[in-house]
Amino acid sequence: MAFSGALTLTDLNDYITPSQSCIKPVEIKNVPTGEGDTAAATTQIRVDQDGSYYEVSVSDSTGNKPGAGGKRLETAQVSLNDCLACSGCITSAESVLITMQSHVQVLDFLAENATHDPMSQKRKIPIVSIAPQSLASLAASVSSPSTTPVTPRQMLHRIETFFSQVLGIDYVYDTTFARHISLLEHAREFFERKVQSVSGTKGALPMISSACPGWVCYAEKTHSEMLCFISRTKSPQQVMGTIVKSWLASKWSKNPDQIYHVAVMPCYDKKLEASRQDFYNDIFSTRDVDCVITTGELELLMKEKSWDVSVPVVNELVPTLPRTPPPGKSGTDSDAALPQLISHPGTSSGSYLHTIIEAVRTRHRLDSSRQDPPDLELSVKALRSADYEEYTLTDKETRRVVFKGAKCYGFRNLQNIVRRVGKEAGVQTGKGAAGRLVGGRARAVKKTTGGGDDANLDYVEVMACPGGCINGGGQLKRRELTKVDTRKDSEGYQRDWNDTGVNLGSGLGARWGDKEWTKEVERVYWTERDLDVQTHAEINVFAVNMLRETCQCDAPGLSWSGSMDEKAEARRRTLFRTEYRAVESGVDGLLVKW
Amino acid sequence: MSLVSELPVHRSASQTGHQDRAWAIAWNPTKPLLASCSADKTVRLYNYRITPPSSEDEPSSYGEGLKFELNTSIATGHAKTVRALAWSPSGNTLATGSFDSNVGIWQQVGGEDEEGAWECVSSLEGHETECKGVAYSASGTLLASCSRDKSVWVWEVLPDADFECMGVLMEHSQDVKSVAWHPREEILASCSYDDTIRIWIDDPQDDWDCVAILRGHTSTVWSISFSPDGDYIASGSDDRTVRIWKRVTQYKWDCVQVLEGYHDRTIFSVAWGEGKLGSLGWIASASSDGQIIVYQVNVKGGIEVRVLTKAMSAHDVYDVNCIAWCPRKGLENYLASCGDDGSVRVWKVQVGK
Repeated sequence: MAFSGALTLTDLNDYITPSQSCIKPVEIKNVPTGEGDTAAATTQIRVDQDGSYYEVSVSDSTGNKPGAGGKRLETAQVSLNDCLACSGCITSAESVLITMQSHVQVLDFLAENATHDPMSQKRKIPIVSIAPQSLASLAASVSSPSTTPVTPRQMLHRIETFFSQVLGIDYVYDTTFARHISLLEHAREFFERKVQSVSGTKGALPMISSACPGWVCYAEKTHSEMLCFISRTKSPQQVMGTIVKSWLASKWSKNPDQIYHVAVMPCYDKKLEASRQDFYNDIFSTRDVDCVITTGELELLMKEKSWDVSVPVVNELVPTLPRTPPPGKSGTDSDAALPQLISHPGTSSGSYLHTIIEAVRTRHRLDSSRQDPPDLELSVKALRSADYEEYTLTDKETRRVVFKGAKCYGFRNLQNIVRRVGKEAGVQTGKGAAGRLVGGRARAVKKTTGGGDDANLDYVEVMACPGGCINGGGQLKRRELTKVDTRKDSEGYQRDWNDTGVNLGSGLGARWGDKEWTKEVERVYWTERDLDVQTHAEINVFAVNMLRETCQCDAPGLSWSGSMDEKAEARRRTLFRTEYRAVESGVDGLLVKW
Repeated sequence: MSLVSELPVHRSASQTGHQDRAWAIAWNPTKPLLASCSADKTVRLYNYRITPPSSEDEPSSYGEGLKFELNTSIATGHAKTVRALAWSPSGNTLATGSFDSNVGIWQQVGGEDEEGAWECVSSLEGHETECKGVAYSASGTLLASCSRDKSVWVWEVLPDADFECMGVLMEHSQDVKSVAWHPREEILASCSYDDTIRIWIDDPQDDWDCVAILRGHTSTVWSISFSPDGDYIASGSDDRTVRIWKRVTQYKWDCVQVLEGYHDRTIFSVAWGEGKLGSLGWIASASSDGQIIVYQVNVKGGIEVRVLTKAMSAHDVYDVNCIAWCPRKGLENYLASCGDDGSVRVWKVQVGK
C-alpha cells in the first residue's frame, strides 16, 4: 500500500526497522460443521473477482459449476494492539499504523462528528496538539534562503488558522507546556531514584529518558533488562493527553470521551505510544490521545484541503489570545489557555539531559551549607559524534564527579549505551544464551588500567533517530526544489544539468535524513528561544495550579518537587507516570526454512 | 589434489553416533591451529604439524604432509548452531557467529606459555535473527557480522575484550550470507540472498556507507573472497557460477569473468589463496554438488582462469559447506573443507606434476 506524505522508517540508514516475521497467530474457531463437510480432506482455495477467498471442497466443485458455493474465508487482521503485544517486529507494522491513525481518520471523525447536534452529548470537541519539532519542520520547509525565515510561532498561527477556518477545530495547542510538566516530573523522578540508588537499590540509576517510543518499544522487546532504568514519567505527548482529557475536560464540564484529541508528532512511533493500554481510559472507553498524525501527514492534510501554509496569516507575529471555552459550559476565558511555545534550552529533542543537569546544579547549590556555594563545572565530551556525548558535572574544589550524563541518538549509539549501562550496572544484557556465553569473562580478561574518571552514568537521554526528534521519521523531507525551476540556472537560462555534468545532488535525490537539512530544521527550531512570553517561574506557578486541581490537593506552598498527601500522590502517579513491560519473543527463527 | 587428512567428525554429545553438519572452518593465521564449528554447537580446534616426506605418518608419495590432532572441543554455550568462525589477525582471538543471533568472542585464559582453556570473553548482541557470518578486518581493529535479519554490523575492537558498535548497515533487502574484509584497506564486502554484493566503507563525513552494489548473480550470493592483492573479489552463488570482480576505480568493481559450467549445484563457498602458481593465486570453489574445484588465476592483459584440479564427492554424498586456504607461509597449497557429513577434511594441491 502507499504511505502518506512522509517517508517510511525503512528508507533510512540508522533507524530501527521492522523485522521480517509477524507472529500474530491466526485464530481458527472450531465451529461445528454440518454434514457434507466431513470429507474435507481435499479442498481448494478459490479467489473471486472481489478478492474474496473461498474454501471449496474438490468433490463439491466437480459436482457444481465451477466457482459456485464454498465457504467464504475470513481475512486475518492485525490490529495495532497485536503489534504492541508482539515481538515479531521491532517498532512498527507501518501499514497498520497508517490505516488506524492517519489524517484520513481525522477527516472521517470530523465528518461523523458534524452529524451530531452541537448541543448533544455525542458531539465531541476536537483538539489538536502539535509538537515543536513538527512546527520547526514545517517552518523550515516554507522558508527560502532569500527571505526572512518563518518561525515556529508564525507556523503555529498558520496551522491554528487552518484548523479553525478549514476544519472548524478551535483548539490548537503546542506541546511545550506538556513538555514542561514532563520535564518537572522527570527531574523529580531523577532525585527519587538518586535517593534509592544511594540506599543501595539496584536498577535505580542511571535513569534513561522515556520520551522516545521507538526506544521504549525496542527495550521492551529486546532489552528487558533495561526497563528498570527507563524513566516512568510520561512523554510530553501523553502528558498532553492527561492535560486535555483530565484537566481541560473537567474545566469544561466534559467527560474525557467528549473530546477528540489529535497529536501532530515528528515520529511514527508516537502512534504506537498513543495506543498503549496504559493510556486507555476503561471507564470512558477513550484514549488520552485519540489519533496521532506525523508532520508529513499534517502537510498532506493541508495540501489536500488546498491550504498554502507558506502564505502568512493575520497577526501571526503576536502571541495568540486566550481561547474561549466551548459554548454553553461554565468557566472563564482563561480556562482554555495554556502557556505557549515555552523554550527549554538544551537539545531539540526535548532537553531532558539539560533539565536534569540544571536540576542537579540547583540542588547542589541549595544543599550546600555555605553562603556562597560554588557552582559545578560542566564538561562535554563527544564520543564519536554529536549524537553520542558525555556531560560531566564536577565539583570545582574537590574535583569530585557529581553527575555524569549522556546524550545518545541513533540506533547504533543506542547499542553502545545498552552495553555500557549493562556493564556499569552489572546487569546481563541480551537473552539467555548470551548470559551463558560470558561466564568466563571475569577470569579471562585482565583489566588494563586506563586513565580518566571511572564514574558511572547517572542519566541518559536516548532517542532512536540519528540527530534526535528534529530528524524524526515523520518529519518533512528536505525542501523540494520543485518550486524553483531546476532546469534554469541562476541567471534564469534554461539548462540541461545532466548534459553539462552538473551534479544537483545537494537537493535532488538527496537521501532524506540529510544532515544539512536536519541542521536547517534545528536552526529554525531555536529561532525564538529568547522570545518567551512567560518565564519558567511563571509557568511553574501555572503548572502547580494544574497539579493541585488534577490531584485534588490543597496543601499550601506546594511546588512540583514537593510532596502531597497519599491520595494526591497516587493521582499524580496515574496522571503523570506510566509503566513498561517486557515482551517475550515467541519467534523461533529456525522455523523459517532455508 | 589429494586428501591428506580427515579429522574426527563432529558428534552431538547427547546422541552418540549422530552427526551434525560442520558449517565452517578457519585456519589460525599465526599458529598451527585449525578451527571448525558445527550444528552441534561446539567449536573444535585441531593442532597440526608438518610431517617429513614419505614418513610413516604419510605413506603417500606426495612429499611433506600435515598431521592433525584434536586439541580441544569447546562447548560454546551458544543456544543454537555455530554457523561462522573468524580468527583475529593476531591469532589470539576467535569469533563465533551463531544461529542464536549472537557473536561470541573467545580467548585462551592463562598466560602465553600455559595452555589455558578457551573462554568466552565477550558476547555481541544486536542481530535479531541467525548470525551467518563474521570477519575481522586486516588490522584486527574491526569485526563485522551479518545475519538473516538483513543487517551487517561493524564493531570496533577495544581493549579488555570490549566492543563498540560502529555501524548497523541495513541496505540489503534479504538475508546476508557472508562478510569479508579487504586484505589491507578498511573495505567491507557483504553478500546476500538479494543476489547482490555490497561494498561498504567508513565515510569520514558520515557513518558506514554503501559505496557500491555489485549486481550480476541471478540468485543468492553465498560467499565472497578478496584476492590476496586486494584488486579482485571472487563470489560464489546459487546460480552455480563463480564471478570475478575487478576493482576498476577506488570504489567501483566490474565483473570481469564468469566461471560457469563447472558446478551443477549451489556454490556455498569460495576462497582465494596465495597458491603456489599463477600471478593471482588460486581460487577454490565448493558446492552442494560435492565438488571442490581449484582454479589458477593469471593476469595476461585480461584475467585468465584455468582449472588446476578438482575433487569429486569431496564429502561423499554430502554438501561441502565451507573451504579455506591455509594462510601460513609455505603451506599455501593446503585447503580445508567441511560438510554436511560433519567431517573436516584437509587437502593438498600438488604442483609441478
